[in-house]
Amino acid sequence: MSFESDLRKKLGEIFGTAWEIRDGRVVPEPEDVALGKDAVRLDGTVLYADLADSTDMVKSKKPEFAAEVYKAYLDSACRCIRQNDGVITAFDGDRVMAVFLGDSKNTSAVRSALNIKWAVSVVNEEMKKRWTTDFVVRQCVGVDTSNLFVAKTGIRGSNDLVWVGRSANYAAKLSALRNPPYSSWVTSEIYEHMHESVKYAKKDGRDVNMWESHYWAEQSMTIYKSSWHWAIS
Amino acid sequence: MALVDDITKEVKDIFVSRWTRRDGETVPEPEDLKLTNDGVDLVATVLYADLAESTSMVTNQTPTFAAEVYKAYLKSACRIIRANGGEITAFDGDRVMAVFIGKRKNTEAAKSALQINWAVNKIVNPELRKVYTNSTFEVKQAVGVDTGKLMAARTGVRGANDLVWVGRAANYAAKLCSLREGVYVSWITSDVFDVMLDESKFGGTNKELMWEKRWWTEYGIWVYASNWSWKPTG
Repeated sequence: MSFESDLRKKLGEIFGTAWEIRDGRVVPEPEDVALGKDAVRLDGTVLYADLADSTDMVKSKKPEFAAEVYKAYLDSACRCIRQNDGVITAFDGDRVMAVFLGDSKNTSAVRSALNIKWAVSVVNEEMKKRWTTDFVVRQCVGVDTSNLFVAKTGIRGSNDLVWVGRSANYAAKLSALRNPPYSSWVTSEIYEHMHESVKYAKKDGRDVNMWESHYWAEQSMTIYKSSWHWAIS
Repeated sequence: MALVDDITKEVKDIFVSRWTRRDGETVPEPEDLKLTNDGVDLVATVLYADLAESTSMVTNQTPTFAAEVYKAYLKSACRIIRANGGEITAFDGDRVMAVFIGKRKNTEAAKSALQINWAVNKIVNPELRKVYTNSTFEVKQAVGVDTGKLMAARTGVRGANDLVWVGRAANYAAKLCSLREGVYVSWITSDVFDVMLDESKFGGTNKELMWEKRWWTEYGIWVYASNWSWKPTG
């Protein structure tokens, strides 16, 4: 069969067959979703954590140094996510995607963002012990929540699930915002539904809001940003 | 051990350990690298293929429609990449990363860009319209290509294809996708253009130059853009 007729046949199947959709209770793994038109629907909260300035870093620093920064950042972020019951669902070089489910999904995702901010201070301390450098590891986390539709793409040799839903796109875009020292960004849906424990901090016996509103011109909506960190004890 | 100790120990190990490095003859798989500071060096060409305007698609279209578009685009792009000798190295929702090595790495990666444009215009959009006869939705995409030294290392992110690709080409190829303007959907750096063979530079019966030179303000380098499409043979 020619390349064209083969591809046309495959696309005919993709656009032509009916979906078999079920509701998910857990974050699906690639082997939980069949090839073809199988899909899982869930209400989930998506977190993206993205290393900032990585293009400048790989252009100006040694590859070993850059690789150590990638590894240290991604390892720390993943540990903070898992500590808060998030599941790592995609990974692409300098950013990581995670999904949270359940009644505390927004609070857990937001706590992860503040934990990652803290973990990065550990990364910077350890980095400075071994390397004499003016480089500072900076990063950003974006969080949104929505319905998600999970299907398999069938890309061999990859974690090949595709996550379709507003939160997957918005969380990725939020993690690309750069406005130091703010490094945690959440949509108003997250802000309104997250627990007070991740909204307010105690300072001199009073509640202080850790979040400030911000107008996101690109998507014409109000979002919230924080420069606070939350140490894991 | 508490999480704080885990993180501190892991991060300390990463910054303290010596690197073992070797030159790669093939594109490494995660299992070819140790979880310690182990690196494979390659001279390679990186291609990113990125579905455009996916945020407005997922907010305006049904999830099943959007999932079909993702699948159709990613499937088509991957088939073309593999047919031209590229290896898919990462996949993250709406974009795919591929690595090409060997003497023809730039020629094959640039050709892949033009062939992906052909597949989207001549197959994906027409097949979509056969089923969704009333839809005005059009699949749009962009491909970015850069070349240079790359070091692959394991990150240890469990349950993922966890290689990190350190080098300018991985970053530039991803960023070039966002330069898409209208029908100019294929973007390559001058480092790719200057060394690729004529077969990927000139096309049509009159062997016209398929690429236009542009200045990339953000990074201060010359890049080339193309609105051509190339039908794969075979």
